[in-house]
Amino acid sequence: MFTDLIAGFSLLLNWTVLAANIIGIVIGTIVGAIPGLGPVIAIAVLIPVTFVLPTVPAMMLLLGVYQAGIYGGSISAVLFNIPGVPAAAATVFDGFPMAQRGLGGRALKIALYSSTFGNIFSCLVLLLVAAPLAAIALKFGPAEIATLLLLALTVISGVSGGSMIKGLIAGFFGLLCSTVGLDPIWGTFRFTMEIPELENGLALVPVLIGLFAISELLIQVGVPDPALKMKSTNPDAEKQKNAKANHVSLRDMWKMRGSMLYSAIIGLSFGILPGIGSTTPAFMSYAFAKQRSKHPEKFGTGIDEGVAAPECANNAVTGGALIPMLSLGIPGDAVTAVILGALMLQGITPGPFVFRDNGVEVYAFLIGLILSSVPTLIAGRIFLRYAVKILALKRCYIFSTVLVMCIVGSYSVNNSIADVAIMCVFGFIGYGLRLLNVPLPPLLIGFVVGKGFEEALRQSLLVSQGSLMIFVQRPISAVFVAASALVLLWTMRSALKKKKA
Amino acid sequence: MQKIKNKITKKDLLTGLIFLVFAILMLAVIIPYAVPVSFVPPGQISPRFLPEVLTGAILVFSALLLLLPLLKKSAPSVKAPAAEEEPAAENATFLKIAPFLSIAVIIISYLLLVWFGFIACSIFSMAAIMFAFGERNIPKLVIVSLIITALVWLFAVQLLNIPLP
Repeated sequence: MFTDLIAGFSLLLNWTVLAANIIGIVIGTIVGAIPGLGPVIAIAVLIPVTFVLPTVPAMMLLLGVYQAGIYGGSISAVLFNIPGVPAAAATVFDGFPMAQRGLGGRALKIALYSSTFGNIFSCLVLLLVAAPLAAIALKFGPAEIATLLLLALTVISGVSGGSMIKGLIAGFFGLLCSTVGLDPIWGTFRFTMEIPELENGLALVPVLIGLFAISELLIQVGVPDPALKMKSTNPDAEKQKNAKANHVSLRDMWKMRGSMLYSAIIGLSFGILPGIGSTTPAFMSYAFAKQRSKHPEKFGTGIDEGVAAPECANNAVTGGALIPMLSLGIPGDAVTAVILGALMLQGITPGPFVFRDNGVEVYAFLIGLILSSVPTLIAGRIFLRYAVKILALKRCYIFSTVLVMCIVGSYSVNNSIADVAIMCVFGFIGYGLRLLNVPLPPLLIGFVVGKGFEEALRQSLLVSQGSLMIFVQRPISAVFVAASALVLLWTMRSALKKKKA
Repeated sequence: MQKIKNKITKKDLLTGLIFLVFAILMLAVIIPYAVPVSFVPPGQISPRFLPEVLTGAILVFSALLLLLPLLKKSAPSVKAPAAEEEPAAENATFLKIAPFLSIAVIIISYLLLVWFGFIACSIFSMAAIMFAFGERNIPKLVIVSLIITALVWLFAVQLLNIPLP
């Protein structure tokens, strides 16, 4: 482990790594701050850029976007009462009242510092936990892997928002989409309809760009421009000049150490669990900080802790979410699913074997994630000065550019126009599903893990001569099956209760 | 609020119906046609196995989605999504048709990419999407489309070596 750790660190000592990471952080902060965009869209559009980069700079670019994207969401939440990403929704409660009192700069600095703390904390845990967890998972056979993926998909479908049944339908639909192309055992084509471009299956990049970026464009075009609202609630610039009140010292942050630590633990724990995302832990940590505060009545009026707690938690999710993604190959949300896809395109397959086969590169990412807190802090401080101007950019320019980048991104994967068609089709499917309140993350995650799931399932059934008993005869696999059934029953019961209420 | 609740129930029913029809079509027509199976030895798994199992699951859950509202009389209390908010009156009609206009723009952009290549596709799609988002200043539409297309082309072709059509 230590040899890989040192070798990984040495891979980071390259200016291209730093440059890629800074670019990723800047892009992440901007897209995080702009309502409607977010790390998923930015990473999807940037994947083609990674084709011309070596593995480590490529991943540091994407991870920079991921890290900074969550923090970026707090900027518009504080300044304009509009969370740039859903994870920043709880930051609005105290961030915006602070901005109204002329303490917007202070709120943003607290958000930045607490985000950095949450990020470093969770990435340190990631560094310590990921490899041992992968070592345990190495003992898994195909039956365990198949049932673990099934459990993960069941949990993700159940908790990823909206109706659990819709989540399950989306997850199964995603798995079904992954069966397009060559059958892994018999070599026959499935659902290719004699279209040669489909023989290798649906490419990940056009599918995810379509599902998330195109559908977002179609959603955004039908709602009023939040920039119009932004202008009316923009904090008074003169008040912002109150430098003393806006200064945040180390002592100020130290006073909030308890809240930040609890929030980081909440964020990390929820990050590890698949499907929950960053929004729930942010709200939970806000509520927890309020509960343990001596002055809970001040929450909501614009106090430091009300910004620090949710921001710390939503950034701590980052490291937590990467733990199952790296060690088990299970992405917990849409962003980690996209990062998993990007890693696979770079020739690295996350899962139990990743530390054995690509240990040096993976340790480079993990150390890089911790070290990238420094450029995030610097970029975050610089960005604060220009945030208002950037956020005032009209959506028409942003989304028209996004569409062109989506076309280029989808085409570039295989230099194929058919991939652009796939992007369009999945864009329309994604838009339709969003109109019907069907959550998209289970669909994407089902699609991403689909091939691995089918491979493991069919290997197990080959071993057992087609008997499904293999999944209950092996103890670990039986536990996963039982857990899946319990999750399914529990969520079905909740759905029925909700309907009867 | 009641209107929103009903809309959400309708959405559940519509989702259930769409996926139910999709699953039936898959099982009855698409899988038999699009997944050819020759000889599968006993104890082996057919290429149709997983698609059929997954479609079966979709069938069951979509049927459940259709049946659940029958188990109760009152509408479920679900919060209205942000996108459902009533838009301002003056551009409400345009906002309603803008997504469909954008779908048409995306389809035309794809056809332009196939027939005339990236530059025509990019200029058209940028200008049309900006229009759909409410930009009515024609010189701005043209200039921004040309500049961004040039920048994206330079970035993709010269820097990333992507041979755009």
